[in-house]
Amino acid sequence: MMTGMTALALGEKLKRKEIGVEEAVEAVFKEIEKREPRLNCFITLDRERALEDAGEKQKAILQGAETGPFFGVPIAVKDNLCTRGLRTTCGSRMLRDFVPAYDAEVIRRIRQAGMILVGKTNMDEFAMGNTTESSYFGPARNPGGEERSCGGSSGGSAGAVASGECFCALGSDTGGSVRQPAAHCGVVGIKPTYGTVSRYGLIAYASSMDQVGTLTKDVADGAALLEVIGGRDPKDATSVERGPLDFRKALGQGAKGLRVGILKDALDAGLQREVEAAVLRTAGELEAAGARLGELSLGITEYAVPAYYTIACGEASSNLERYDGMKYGFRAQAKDLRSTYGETRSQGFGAEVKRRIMLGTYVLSEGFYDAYYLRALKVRRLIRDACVKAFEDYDVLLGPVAPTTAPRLGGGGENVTAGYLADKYTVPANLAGLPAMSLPCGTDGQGLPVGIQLTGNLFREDLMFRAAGALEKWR
Amino acid sequence: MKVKMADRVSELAALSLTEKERDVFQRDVEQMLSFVDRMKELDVDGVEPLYQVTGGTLELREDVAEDAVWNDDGKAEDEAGNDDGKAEGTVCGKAAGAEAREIYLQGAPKRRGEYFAVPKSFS
Repeated sequence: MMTGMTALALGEKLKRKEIGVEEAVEAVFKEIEKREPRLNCFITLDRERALEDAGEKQKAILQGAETGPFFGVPIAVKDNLCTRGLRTTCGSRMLRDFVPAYDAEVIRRIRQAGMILVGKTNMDEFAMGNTTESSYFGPARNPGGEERSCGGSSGGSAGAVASGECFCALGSDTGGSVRQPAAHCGVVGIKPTYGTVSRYGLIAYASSMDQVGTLTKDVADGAALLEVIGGRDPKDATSVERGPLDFRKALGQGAKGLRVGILKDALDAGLQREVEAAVLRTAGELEAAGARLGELSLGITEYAVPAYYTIACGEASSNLERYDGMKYGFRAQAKDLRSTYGETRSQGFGAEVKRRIMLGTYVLSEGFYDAYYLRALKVRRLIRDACVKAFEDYDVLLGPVAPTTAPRLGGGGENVTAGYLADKYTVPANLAGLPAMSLPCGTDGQGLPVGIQLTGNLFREDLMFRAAGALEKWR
Repeated sequence: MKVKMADRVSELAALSLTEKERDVFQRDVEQMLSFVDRMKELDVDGVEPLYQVTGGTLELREDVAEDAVWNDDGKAEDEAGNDDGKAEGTVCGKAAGAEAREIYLQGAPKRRGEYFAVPKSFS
């Protein structure tokens, strides 16, 4: 079936005129029509414009235009990326009817590459969550088990790729929001080194950690898509000049001689049996491919989750101050300016967002700043230093993505922090800015996907891709 | 933990909460604080805070006059066909001038002609 193809494979067939662009787009929307009523991976679809765009792309192909590997390939993007003229909600009531007047930089780049935007995917509200259940538009359901979550916050993007509703997708990762849903849905999720991809037009959650990432069916698609969206953007002062990006080169270089560090403390922590088995199996495969294995404990990472939530909530409380109902978005009815602010924000935001704003406001407030926020930034340096030290001995770190496979929907408990510890394996890469990715590794006893995580040193995606490429080839 | 923390914080964060909501949020935020309190176990004496992971600092651009990004003929920068978005200081795929004003005003929660209408400061 066409929708089972990888994005690059489709791009190749489109180029060779074996498949028409309109045909590909129609196939995508047919799959969406079939699956969306149950899955809810999309918030907004843009069928008319996608077909129009497809017509233009097809004409260009027939005219023999010079085109890149993704020309004419349909893509879905997370709904926190601004798309000109197309509703962008961030999964929130606050932006339920918001239509941006500009494209995010990554949107501009995928359009320039000839890709066709099919729609905006479902997400946890303002990217705050790891199950996509906090979305104002209802949760996304896992194509591998509809009473299960897709993970989050890029749950819609991961689900859309896994279900065949789209060939590839963009998401964003602040605490694991690309890697974890990728693991739960059985697709490849990549978060590049912080600063690799422009955040211009990415609606901000925690600015020092947010990065756009890719959700794809295989590693080659992810590496190639990262080349399209990555690279310095003067409009994002935190984006870094990395020169011409060539992530695909490393995929075929093999794992021979690669020093792989297995994160021992993760394995000791009581993972779901099949998750632990997947990590160990992957280690074995890398060894068979010629890698040198070792074990290490990054002890300090047990403080990563508290540090992450302190920093992320602090930054979020500041970033979300702009939602006041004055110039755009939701506005509540109230008697005066101050009340309008209060009512708009209270009604426009969901519970998790309000909790995080409150925690963030508290940790940044006078009398508590030093004890919480500043302390968290110091812990951040300790974590970063521990990671950098680990990379003196290793090229790539191997571990789990999440302690379990996809949780059941509606599983939240009395304690609001119950789900936070599930982020423990993903947040260190965000705090330290490291590249990291999730690779599918079989299923558990219930048929739910299991993912493993590879982490690289700052700006060393190449080593990470050598391992990933070798593993995918092996499988 | 200060009593009425939720009062103070909701005021600072401009969130209008009912008495009942404030009690719920007080409890929730206390749980979150107790979760992050673990960090107190670490000795951070002499450790510098880490704000920016890639070691960059906020750069200044060259003090050189550039062509305006906005043009008032209502044409978006990319329709004018004069940049590829990679040039320093220009913006592509973005509406400009009169077209932009209209888009933003259309998205206004409340509009009065060419203005955003906002509630009065005091009732």
